[in-house]
This record gives sequence, C-alpha cells and structure tokens, in this order.
Amino acid sequence: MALTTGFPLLDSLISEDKIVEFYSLDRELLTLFYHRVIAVSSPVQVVLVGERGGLDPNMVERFQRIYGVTGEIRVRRAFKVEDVSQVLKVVRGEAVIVDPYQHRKCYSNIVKYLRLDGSRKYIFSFMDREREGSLFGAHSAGSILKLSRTKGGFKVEIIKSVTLGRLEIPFATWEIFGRSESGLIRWII
Amino acid sequence: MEGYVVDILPGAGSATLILNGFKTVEVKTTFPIYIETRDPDRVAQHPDVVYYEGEQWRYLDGREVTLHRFELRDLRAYYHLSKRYRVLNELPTVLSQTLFRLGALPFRKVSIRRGEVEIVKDELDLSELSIASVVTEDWFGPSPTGHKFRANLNGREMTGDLDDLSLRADVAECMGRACHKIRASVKLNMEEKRAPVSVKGLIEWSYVSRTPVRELMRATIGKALTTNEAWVAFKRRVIIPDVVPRVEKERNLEQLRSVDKGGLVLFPKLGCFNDVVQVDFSSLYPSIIIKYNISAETVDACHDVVTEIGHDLCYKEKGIVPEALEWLVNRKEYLKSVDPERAEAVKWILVASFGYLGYRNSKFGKIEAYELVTHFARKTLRNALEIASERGLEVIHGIVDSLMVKGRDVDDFVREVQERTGFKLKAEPMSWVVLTSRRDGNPYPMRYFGRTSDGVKMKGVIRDNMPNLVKDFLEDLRKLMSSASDCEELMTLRAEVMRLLRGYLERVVSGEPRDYVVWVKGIPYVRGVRGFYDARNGFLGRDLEYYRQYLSRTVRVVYPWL
Repeated sequence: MALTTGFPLLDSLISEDKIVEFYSLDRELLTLFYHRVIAVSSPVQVVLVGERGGLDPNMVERFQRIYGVTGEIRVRRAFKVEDVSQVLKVVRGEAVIVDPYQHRKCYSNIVKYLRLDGSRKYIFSFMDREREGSLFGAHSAGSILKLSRTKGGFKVEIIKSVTLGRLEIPFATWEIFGRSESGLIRWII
Repeated sequence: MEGYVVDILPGAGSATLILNGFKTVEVKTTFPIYIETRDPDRVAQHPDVVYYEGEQWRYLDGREVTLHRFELRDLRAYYHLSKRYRVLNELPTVLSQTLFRLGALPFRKVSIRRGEVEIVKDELDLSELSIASVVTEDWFGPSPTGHKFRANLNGREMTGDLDDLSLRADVAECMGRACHKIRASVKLNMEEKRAPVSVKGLIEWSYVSRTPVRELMRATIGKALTTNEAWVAFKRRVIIPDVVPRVEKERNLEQLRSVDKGGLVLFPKLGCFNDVVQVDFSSLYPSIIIKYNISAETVDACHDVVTEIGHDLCYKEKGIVPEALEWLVNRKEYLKSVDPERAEAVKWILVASFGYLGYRNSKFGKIEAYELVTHFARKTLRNALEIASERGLEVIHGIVDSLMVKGRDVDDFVREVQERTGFKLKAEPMSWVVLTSRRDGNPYPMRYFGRTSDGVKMKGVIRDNMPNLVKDFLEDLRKLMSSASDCEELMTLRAEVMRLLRGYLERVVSGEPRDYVVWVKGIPYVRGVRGFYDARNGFLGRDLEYYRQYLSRTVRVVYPWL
C-alpha cells in the first residue's frame, strides 16, 4: 500500500511530494499520529531512530484493527547517529522514518540517503522544524507539516508546500481513531 | 630496580615509570599509533614521527587492510595527527600499548636493569602497595569542603581534623582539600570519579584492562570493559575502529515483540515462607555469552546454531567478547576467596558486559547479540522452572537468574539443572523469606528479605535515597529480625518491632541534624517545613511529620504484621 495518513484531505495535499515531513514538539501527539500512519500505510517499511524504541506494536495493531488493515510492518532500528545513514542506505522503496534528525548531527549524510532512491518517505521529527534540523532536509522535503494540540484536538499546519500557502487544518482527537469524516473543511480547499 | 608499576608519565623519546614506594625510572621508548592512509610518507613528515611500518590487519567483518604503525617520539604528536588523519586502534590507549610493548603493565611487579624491563610477578599483590582513601566530612556527611577527614590506609582507619592530615600512599583516592594534604604517586579525585568502585576496585580494573589507573579515573565502566575486549581484538590484529555503524536486520512487529525483551521475572507469591532455598545461576549472562559464543562478529556469520528468534550463531572462531569474558569470569571466581572487594569490581565489569552488548556505542556488540543473550537467559530459567515442576518443588519467586524454591531434595534439583543447562548454580538456604507487595497490593518482584546463614538479607528495602534515620532503623530491624528462626517467630517479634519503632519516632524529635539527611544524586537534602532544602547551606530545621510518616510507611512494608 502507498504511504497515507488516512486523512483523505491531508493525503490530497501531499500526494505529489516525495519527501513529507511531519514535526511536532508534542511527543504524545506525534507518536499517536505516526502509529496511525504506519498502521494505515501497511504493508510498509519503518525506520526507527533512537535508543529507547518509539514503536508500540500493540498501538499499531489497534490502529490496524480500527481501519481493517492487515499488512506487514517491517522495522529497522538505528541507535546511534552513524547507524542512521547506513540503515537508510539499505532501505529501498517507500518508508516511514521516525526522528531521523534525533542526534542533531550528520544531516547531510542522512538527507543524502533519504533522497537516494527517489521513492516516497514520510518523516516524523520531534523538533521545531522552523528553528532546528537540517536545512538541506527542509529544501528536500516537498511538504513540511506541523502538528500541534488545540483545545478539542489537534491541528496540522502546512509550513511548506509546493502548491499551497500556509494553511491550518483542525482535527478532533478522536478523528485519529477513525471516528469522523473530514466535515465542512473539504469545501474550504 | 624492582617494584609494582603504578603509573607512567610520557616524555620525549622516553617514559617515566612510577613504581611503588615513590620510585621512578626512565626508559627509552617511542609511542605507537595506527593510521589508515594511502600516503604514509606525508604523515611521516611530522617531526615527531621516528619511523613507520606497514602491517596487515582486518576489520571485524574479515576484510583485510594495510595499516601503518607510526612510532612517535612525543605523545603530543598523537593529538595533532589524530585531528588530521584517521587513527585506528585507539583502544587500548597509546600509553597502554606502550606499556605492553615495554613489558611494564600496570600493577605487575617488574625489574628494570639498564633500561630493560622484565615482569617478575604477574599477579597483583596489594600488600606490597600502599593504598589510601581519604574523605572529608561536614555535618551532613562526605563533602569536599568539610574540615574533618576519615581515611583508610591499607585497612587502617583514621579520623581527625583536616589540618592534622599527613599521609603518603602509592595510590590514593581523595576528596576536596584532602587531595592537597596527601602525597601519592597517583591521586584519584572522588569528585571526578565515574566508576562505581572503590580505589581497590579501580586498581583491579587497571590490572585486568592493562590500562594506567590514571586513565580509568574519569572513565565509566564501559572503558574498562571495552579495553579488555580491545586487547583480544588487538592480539588478533582485528582493527578497533572509533565508531562501528551497525545495520539492524529488518523484522516484522511479531518478531520484534518476541525478541525485544529482558530477562524473565515471575510475580512472587506473597507472604512469609519457611525453609526456602534461593538458587542462583553464577554469572548467568556472561556464562551465556561464553557458552554460546555470542559476539557481534559471530551472530549470523554462519548457521552453526539456529535459534527460534531468527538470529543464528557461528562457532567457527571464538568471539572477541566471549574470549575477553572467559578470563574475567575465572578471575572473579579466584578473587572471591582472595579479596571480595576486588571480586566485586570484576563483577561490575561482567554485569556491564551484557548491557554493553546492546549499547549503541559498543565496539564489539550489536543489538542482535543482546537479544540472543536475553533469549537464552529466559530459556534457561524456563528450563529450571520445568525441572522444579517435574520434581514437585514449589517455586515462590524467580528473577532473571535466580529462583526461590521450597520442597525436598533441592540439592538434586540444583545438580539436575546444572547438568541440563550447563550453567553453574549456587544454592543458599533461607530459614524464612518474606515477599512483599506494592502499596496497591500487587506483588513487588524486586523486594524481598530473608534469613540466611550470614544474617538477614534484604533486597530492594534499603535505598540510597532514604533519610539516614530510616536507614538506621532498617539496619536495627534487620538485626532484630535475624533472631527469628522461622515465620512464626518473626510474627511474634511484633512487640519488639513496635518498641524499636517508638524509639525511632522519638529520635525523629530529638535526633542529630545528620539523621534527617537524604542523599539524592549526590546532593544532601533535608526536609524542612517548607519542603526539601540543600543541606550544604546549613541545617534549617526539619519536618517532623514527614520523617514520622516515612518511618511508619517503611515499617508497614518491611513488617506487615504490625
């Protein structure tokens, strides 16, 4: 299956981009979001960067049950910064990459391998992308989206897009769990 | 000249060896460094390069490569060159390699005649060395700014005012101003020390990792451990790179879930049990690494042993990690009867050896190796559980490498487990053991206490971050409990426990300031009426209710029959 967020509206905005980066300083929100993305995009390859995990198999399976998906999720982990580019080098095809810039160094190598095979990549970064992270990575990403919490849920802000200007799309928290339709927002865009 | 090598000071074209008894001797030497370069002549243009030689080495994956060994006149050139070229084999350190080549390894007795060094005694005999530990103290405990000192010189305890301190030792660990008051060939500042062992432990680490103790002073346990493994690689001419990038095998969620686990921990049965035997596997994790030849380069290299978790093992060549650990396991067993403190220091390395296999910066480990160790550990404990069940023994608790069993013929059980698993076990009878629950009523696997032949053994009860008053109370409670020979007698101690508790509740009111100190991450705190404050600013009162409640809470955990 192709990479998808499971939100048709969001998918339509980023469908043409090879590299899409989602970032947030809200760890809980982004974690929940990428678990959903991994589940609905399955079968999919996942690269996890970090020493202390970051993928809850039970949560992914819960999302798979919710959306009736059964595809295989193939995971590779990269623990130290030197591992990241080596792991990305062997990953071919579409993939979800969780926190590739976690170590805040060796950006050029990492971006080089993110772009290597030209296939689609969804990146999830726990950082403020407007202040830190790889500049080269920011140039390479077709879309950069910021996730932040709102009173009744969360919003996705389009920070960078080839086709759109700055845009905010609000979602209710339970929409992550598939409890709603896109609503009136579809008429705005 | 004869003596134990205590330290080395590099010079220009020579090194000064410092022997015990403040003896020094200068020996001529150069310092070797290994550089991977296509243009060695360019490196040799550095004025401190005496000469260079090409050598055949291989990477961990077997690829052969030519490395150039440059002999330096002055060690300062190493720091200069390492910034410009790719220097390999930096562990063991250049000084350790120099000492190794000279034949003057740390804490070996050597004889030096006309610049030639010869080892006359390879075993470490601490009785010929003077070793000191000096701690300065303030009212709340150890403090670099304290005016009193507590010293230990070769087992002899001394206390007094810091102004009266005068001490000479070959190796001394010290704190604060005490470091200026003592004379020692090697001074180890406790504030900079990161190793969890005493000065004797550091000397043992220096001995086993063949690295000057000064270089281990600020090092973590990982350096001692990795150096030990690096020596094995060095002797095999396997390159020791600075960083080893690893690519983990691709796995699906089910595979990941089945292997990404620690050791097996059982939920204990709650209550007090008579006539229990605690059966422990000796050095289980290191023994697994040795038995199954688990090392980064042996995992998935061939398929001599096929495991259920998808990683296979190769027995064609002995792994670097198993070879390094085998010697340490034997040394720990030997030291147990000679010097328990040093045995404990070796045990620390063995304990860390498993965790380090999966550590991201490990040079000789990888995550698959780590997963194999925990897999075999779980399998081993399950085997032991099955044997216990076949023999009709009641298992009341189990933690990773230890079981508490109740029943007859435990010796036969131990023998059978040893035969079937191939790992050594030791059995420790307990006349009674208490397994307690958490506050929410669920079993707490990591906390138990029971009476052994050496008195009451407490695990997970006395913590470092408890007020001194509570620690003292628990120590007294331990002594009191050791008089009970079974659970029934333990329960009859109620009146004595109450009396002890009342005494301590009174002490809450009339105690010394030191009683209220709580150490958290090396900082002393006291709980005052407005919350915790830093005790280093002076004693500003205490919150009586907090300490009373702490005592009452603790006694309910340790003595639930109150």
